[in-house]
Amino acid sequence: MHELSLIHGLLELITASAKVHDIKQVSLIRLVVGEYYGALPEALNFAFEAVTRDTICEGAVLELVATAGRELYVDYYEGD
Amino acid sequence: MKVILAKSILKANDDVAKRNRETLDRCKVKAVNLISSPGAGKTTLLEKVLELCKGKAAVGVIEGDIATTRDAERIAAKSVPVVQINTQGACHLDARMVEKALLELPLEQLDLVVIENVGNLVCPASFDLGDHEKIALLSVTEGDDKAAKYPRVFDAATAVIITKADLLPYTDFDLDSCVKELLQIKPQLKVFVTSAKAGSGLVELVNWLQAR
Repeated sequence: MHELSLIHGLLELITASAKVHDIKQVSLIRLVVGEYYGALPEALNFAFEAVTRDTICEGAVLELVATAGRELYVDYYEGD
Repeated sequence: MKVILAKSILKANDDVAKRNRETLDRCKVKAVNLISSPGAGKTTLLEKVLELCKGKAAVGVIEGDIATTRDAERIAAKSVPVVQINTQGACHLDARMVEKALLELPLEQLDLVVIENVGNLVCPASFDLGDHEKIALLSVTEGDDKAAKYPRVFDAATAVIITKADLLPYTDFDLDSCVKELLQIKPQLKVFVTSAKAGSGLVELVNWLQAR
């Protein structure tokens, strides 16, 4: 359930950064998620699809990188 | 275009949490975040603690629940300032909800704010609220294996309160092994064994809270 909140945070972060870089459409986001956060990939993907509807991230690929630690950050994103 | 961000997606929450902590520090108020599974006895314990604090410390309460104002009504009956947050389905409180709730409390007149998180042993541990410490509750009816099964919340806490100790004779709860497992997760954890019903362990808890 907290996956939804995490994706909200992700969208906020990307939207703010995309504005600075004048990016209108995001195509890929690489998110590093540590095991510590107990976030399930399926739930993250589901939340991502739901939350990004009608945003600059709609249709973007969410690339998840699972680690054993306490990381939870956007490594990079791509867009035009 | 590729943009390297390397930024935490919890940053927005953490920024608000930091602001909350600054507000509390400015008003010289300490905040604790109570976390447990539903039914562990957070509200009942809090009711007893509020009675013991009367005349010693001014306490305000923020109640987090998915729905209803039942807990806030119970706390209000103890004549302390209380704000109810209904998360409308969300499984945890976040820093923004607490920021709004803090505006409703007379912080200048308080010594302690107790934030009772949504009953959940998983999600609340990820979200900093701006509290100064997290206290986890574990009731004997939940079973002594919960610390090992849900280590993160106990790792994030500074103290663990074992509740409903009056039921120990009626359960298979192994207190020694539970405490041992808790200390394996975090050796510096302070563990209290309490019963709100029998009134045991509560004075120690209140004294510890006051000393901090």
